[in-house]
Amino acid sequence: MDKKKILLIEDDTPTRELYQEVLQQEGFLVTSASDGQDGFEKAEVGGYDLILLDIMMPKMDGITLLSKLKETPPKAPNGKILLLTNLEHDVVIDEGLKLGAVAYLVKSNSTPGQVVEKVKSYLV
Amino acid sequence: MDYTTTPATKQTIDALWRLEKIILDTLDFNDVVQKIVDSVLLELGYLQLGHRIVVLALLDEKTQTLKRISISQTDEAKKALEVTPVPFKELDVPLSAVSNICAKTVLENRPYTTHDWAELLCPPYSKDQAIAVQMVVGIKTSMVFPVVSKGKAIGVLIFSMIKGEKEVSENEMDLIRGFTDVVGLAVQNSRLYSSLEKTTTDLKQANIRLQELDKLKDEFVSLASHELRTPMTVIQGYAWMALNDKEDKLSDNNKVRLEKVLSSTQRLIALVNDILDVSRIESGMMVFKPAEFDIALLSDDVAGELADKSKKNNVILKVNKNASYNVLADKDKIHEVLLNLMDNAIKYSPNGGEVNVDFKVLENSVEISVSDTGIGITKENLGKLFTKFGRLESTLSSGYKTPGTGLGLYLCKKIVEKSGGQIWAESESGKGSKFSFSVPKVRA
Repeated sequence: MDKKKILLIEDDTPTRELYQEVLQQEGFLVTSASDGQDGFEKAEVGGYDLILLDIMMPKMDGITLLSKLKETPPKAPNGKILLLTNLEHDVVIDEGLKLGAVAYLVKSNSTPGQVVEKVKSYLV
Repeated sequence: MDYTTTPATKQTIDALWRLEKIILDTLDFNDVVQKIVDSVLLELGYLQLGHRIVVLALLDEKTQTLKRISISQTDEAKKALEVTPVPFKELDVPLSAVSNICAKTVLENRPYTTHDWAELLCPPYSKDQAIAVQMVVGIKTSMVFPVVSKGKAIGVLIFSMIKGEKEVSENEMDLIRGFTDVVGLAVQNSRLYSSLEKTTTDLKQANIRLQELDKLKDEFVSLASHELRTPMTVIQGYAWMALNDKEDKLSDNNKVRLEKVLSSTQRLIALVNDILDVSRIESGMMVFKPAEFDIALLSDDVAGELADKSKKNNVILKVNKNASYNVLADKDKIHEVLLNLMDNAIKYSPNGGEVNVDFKVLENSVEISVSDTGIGITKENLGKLFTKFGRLESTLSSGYKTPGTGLGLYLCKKIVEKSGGQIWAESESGKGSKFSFSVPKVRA
């Protein structure tokens, strides 16, 4: 079976490296982006089975990325989008969910094991 | 209307009533003091009776000086203001100037009459200056009356006229005396009003500033907790990975150490979460989305989340339900409350203890109680439970492995109250504790 492709958009380097490592250990093919602009360009190309998207980021925040992605559909379709956050502003999260994200994950409240579980549950 | 030719008392009273109304209806201090000096001359036509200038001077308690506050808007007054060697507002008379009849009027709280402006204006005028100005203006007699408030002279009212005091009729005198009595009250009123107005304005400004500061504080807490959580997430993540690495086994010692790193990091994260929640709930930023759900089912879920912990602590956790209990509230927030109460109950139960979750249906709400078989809470400590950082200092909380943040029950209280319910605790030392809260019921 082909490895599932995950796009990880997260600006904080240690956090990005942590998730990249744990996801690769689980056998996923991880592509990472370190800001919103970079993430958008990669998501626009498409072809990912799942996208992990941070909300607060330089250059382009996660919410803007979602709305831009809605305007310009990717060349190849992507799987589900999971929001990553550490700032649980109900309003912002609600907006993200309205713009097409399927769920959100509070980074500080999840162990890497729980992140993997959540990722797997949306990779059907 | 000419009141002077009619000596009837009734007319004096009518005139007085008119004057009182004019000055007592005015609240602003500056307006009041101007009306006091103008109304007798301009409203009552006392100019025709030879009255020319009315001046109000008030005592400045701090400096014990009589300060001239207002002067009537008459031709003679204007003339006096043109030739005065000292500006009107600086015509101050210290109470120690005993030869000045204004000072004497205040000190002795009785009226004086003079034909010599030196007695009225020295100091600050020299005798020659006083005579010169009096000549120019053409005043013959000045009568000085004390302005009284609460039995004490707080200033003087000076009536200057181009006639002798013998030409002042009984009616005129009655009216002036009666009027002067009211002036004290009017001055007092308007001073209170103006200081009240100033206080109100000051308070409003202080309040706006406080709101700005409060908003800044909330923004700071929000940003700081986000910034703090990012590195804590990474510490937590790598500690977890090291502990769960199947290929690279840790020594037993290092495993224990790393477990402590992980649990302390999680405690730190919990503290930051609670602080952020407190800030959000206090600033009204926490959004409550009420929906219908079965609180017994939710309690089951929470019990499931705590299964590992209760097993580890050897505590039996029982959710005693025999029906569904539908409530109307924000499910996620009530989840927090249940988790907090059940987690506490497990934490404070002895080995082999029991935690029971029970439900009671009331007229408008469902009451949920979480009881434990722990050592209980003393009466004094019961009152502190739901306060911010109200963790108990006694033996009760010491000795337990995982201290809380001291914010949990405070948050529970806030959440329950915002959801339209109440929360309380009952306990007897040594016999366990029972925490209960109510949530609005779904109307049938």
